Amino acid sequence: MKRREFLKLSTATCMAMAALGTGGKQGIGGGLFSPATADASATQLPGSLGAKETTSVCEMCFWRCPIVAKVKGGKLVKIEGNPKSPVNGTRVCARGNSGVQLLYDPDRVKYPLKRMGARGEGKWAKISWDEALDEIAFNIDKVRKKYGPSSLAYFDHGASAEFLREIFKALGTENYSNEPAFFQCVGPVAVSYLSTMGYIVSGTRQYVDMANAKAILLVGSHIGENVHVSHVREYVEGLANGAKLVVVDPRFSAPANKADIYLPIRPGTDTALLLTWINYVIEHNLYDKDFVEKNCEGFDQLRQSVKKYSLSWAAKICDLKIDDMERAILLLAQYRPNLTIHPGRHSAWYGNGDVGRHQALAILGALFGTVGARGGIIFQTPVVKGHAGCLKCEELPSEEPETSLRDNYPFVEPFPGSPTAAIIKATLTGEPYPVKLWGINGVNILQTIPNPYDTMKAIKKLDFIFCEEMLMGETALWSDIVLPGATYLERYDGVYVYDGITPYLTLRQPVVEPMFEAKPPFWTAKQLAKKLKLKGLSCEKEEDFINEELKEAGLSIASLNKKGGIVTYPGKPYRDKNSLKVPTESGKIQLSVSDFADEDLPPVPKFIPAPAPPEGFARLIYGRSPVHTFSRTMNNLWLHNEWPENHAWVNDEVADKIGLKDGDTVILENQNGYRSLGIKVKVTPGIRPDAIYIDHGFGSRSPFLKRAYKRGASDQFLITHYENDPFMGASSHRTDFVRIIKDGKTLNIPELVCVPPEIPRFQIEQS
Amino acid sequence: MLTRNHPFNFLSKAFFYPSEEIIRHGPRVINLLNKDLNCGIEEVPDIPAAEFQAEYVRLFINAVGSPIVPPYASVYRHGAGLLYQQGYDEAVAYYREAGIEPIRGPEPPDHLSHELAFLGYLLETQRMSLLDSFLRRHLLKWFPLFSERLQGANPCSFYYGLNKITGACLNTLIEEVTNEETGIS
Repeated sequence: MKRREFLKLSTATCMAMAALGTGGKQGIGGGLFSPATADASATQLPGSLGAKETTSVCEMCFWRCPIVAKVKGGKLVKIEGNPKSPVNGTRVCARGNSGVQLLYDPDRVKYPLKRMGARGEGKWAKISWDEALDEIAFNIDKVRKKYGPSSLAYFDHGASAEFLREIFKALGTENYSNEPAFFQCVGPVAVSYLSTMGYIVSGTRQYVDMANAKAILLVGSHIGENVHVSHVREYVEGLANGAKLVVVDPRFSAPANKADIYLPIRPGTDTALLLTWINYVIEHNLYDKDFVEKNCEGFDQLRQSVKKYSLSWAAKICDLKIDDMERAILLLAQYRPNLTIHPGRHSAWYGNGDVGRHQALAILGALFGTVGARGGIIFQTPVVKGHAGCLKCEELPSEEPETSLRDNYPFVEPFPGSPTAAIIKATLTGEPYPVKLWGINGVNILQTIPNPYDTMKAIKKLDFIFCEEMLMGETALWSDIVLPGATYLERYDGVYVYDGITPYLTLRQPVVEPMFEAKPPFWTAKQLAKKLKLKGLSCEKEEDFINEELKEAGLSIASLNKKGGIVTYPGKPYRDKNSLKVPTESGKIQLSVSDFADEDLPPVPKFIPAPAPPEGFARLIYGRSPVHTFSRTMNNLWLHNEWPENHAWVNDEVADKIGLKDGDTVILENQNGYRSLGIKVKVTPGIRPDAIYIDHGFGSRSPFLKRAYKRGASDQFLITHYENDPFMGASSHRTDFVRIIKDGKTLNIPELVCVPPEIPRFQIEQS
Repeated sequence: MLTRNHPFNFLSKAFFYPSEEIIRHGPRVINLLNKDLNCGIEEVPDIPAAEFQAEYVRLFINAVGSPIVPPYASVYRHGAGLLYQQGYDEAVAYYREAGIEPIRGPEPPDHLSHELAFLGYLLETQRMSLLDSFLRRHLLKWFPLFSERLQGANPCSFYYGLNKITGACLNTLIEEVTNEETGIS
């Protein structure tokens, strides 16, 4: 090229550019480059060959599978299971593989953002971290001084949320850990097993030994649709070894497909079946007398209490055949004690009666002597891990509120946080005290908590709301300040220990640098603590507290990494029934819980019928897609391609009567007139005529998520009526009903199954 | 002198989040460039800072309807529009071939601003053969897609003008390079 004027720019233009500092040389490439130093040899190899491998822990769901991340030239190219992991080996699920897509999703939150328009409008300015944290600290301080410490609430989930939780705790609010995961999910089952067995047999994890079971009972559990790798593997191993399977579910789910006996129960009547079975095993001496005598208390009260529940009664209530129910319980009894009575996990179904249902499962397990037995309920094996003092924050002097949001729920006591429904009501009404500021981390509150319409109204009443997010979901859309959170692939968390059947210790650690201006949550919490002048969170960096936590196990980050990122320990999951001592006060399993009676709650579970659908409606039920987690992964490229939207399962006879065809696009309308986005119908005999099923988490209302936006229907946006469990305040999720709108015409659901008079009908005006 | 008077450092800076300088002087430079290059765009008025910045976020960072116009090569060179894929690999390979590497910053190095600044560097250092390859085999493979998307996003006058002027500069540059190769001058 000849040396002539390129583009013939005028002197005025050149001078104007020069004034901007862009006219001449500004270092290499405007100061954006430096002389090359990196060795590029590894990047010349194909695929993941030559990649640097870093062990870590997955967070595509909460199960925390150990992984190995393969990085080339600073770029993550592949994720596999950690071969040294005793639970998943080299395997990860579809979501585990797709962590790469989360990291590199262009819809990520990239910078701190400040709301410019109305809440929910989606108009933002990019601001610095300093400005963002200043604004958060200023508002926290202002609200706390004006309305008191409990006017601050923190909704959180997962490892990334733990550091900020310390801040809210230190600020003196009683609402510092309002885990939707607890109050919408595992709360009732956790309370029931804690009260019956003295430990949480089912919380984040389920301590059962399906791999060695000779029979397995699943009541509303969809293992294989909810994929937690080691849990599914244990279940599959059990089945491969010949375990018999009994499945109770209104829908022909993936496990129903593998069942020896499948009981398509009327929704809301599971406890009736369980109490009938309990009565049956007592009456027919099918229980383990020796085990019960040695290890249980309250047997007589139990026997008296369940006497009235007969098979013929249950057949009417549950809409099941006597013969099928009897065959099922005889099959299970045949294999005691090597029997998994699965405790279930998500248990916030109907509000009243949820604790009782899981208490009944615990009792059935105890009567069969499965506690501590191979194939039964197992004991945790504690793994030594230190606690880093430098993670604590000194609590500010604070007065407790006169009336607590926890007051109405006597069994919430062992757990932190307040029922989420109570916080939303307090935010809306100012009673019993005002809640004026929300912090949110790791949870999409509009797709998780019932009645998102109330949640949105509550948000409008707040003085301030902020969140830390990785993707611009609905929570971000409604926030005043959005902080860009580092993904699990870009940050350290604490040391993880697994205390199940094959115990181990491992560590989540960054495999690449955080992208854009995303920051690890420890850094964010530490900076915010400084701005709030809180004492604590004194570790300089994550490695400091992690090494402190590892020290007690005789490890450091370096030595753990040398060992392949994971250390395993021998498990002690089983107990001899002759020396069994469960961690209750008396050391015995409580077949009747006197603590419940002290609070005027039933010590032995009773059947409390969930109201049947109102005329023209079917009950809305929901579950998981095996390739998605909550509402978090619908924008993930690979997972979206696998399962882009949910379908409404409609019974084939119902569909025939109302003129629906497989693949029709319809709208679901609930009993309060709230309507879903369009959803395709799956016509199938695999669901009862009185229920309609959809996968949870679809139908995103956030236009920021280009793949997930308006794909399928959201179950949560149809759950506007809920009831609270009287034990710990969980909000019910199966107390809503839907009918179908097709081409603008409302199609009432015909009632093909009679409702017995013992089951009341839902009154629409009550919601 | 060709190496000093190119606009690519300005264009690079203008495609980053608007600094105070760009907010204050950017519209004027766009208007001058429009005159020089005869792009036929309407006069760009001064824009209030808050509006300027909100518009940038809407267009390029996290906007309703997705980041409407992600300014990254990878998004356009990868079938499904992910970050850090083929477009990123290509950009980094060209930088390496030029003997330089991006200084680590918040933005991925296949950001349009990096690539425009790289063009400026190639001009300044007279790496014309590499420039030709970078333009033909990489930048011009994705810039037209980006540009079309930006136009479709109904940008404010500044980004409308910036888009047009960047396109004009790239087209003129490729013509110059082609003419040089074919001996036409």
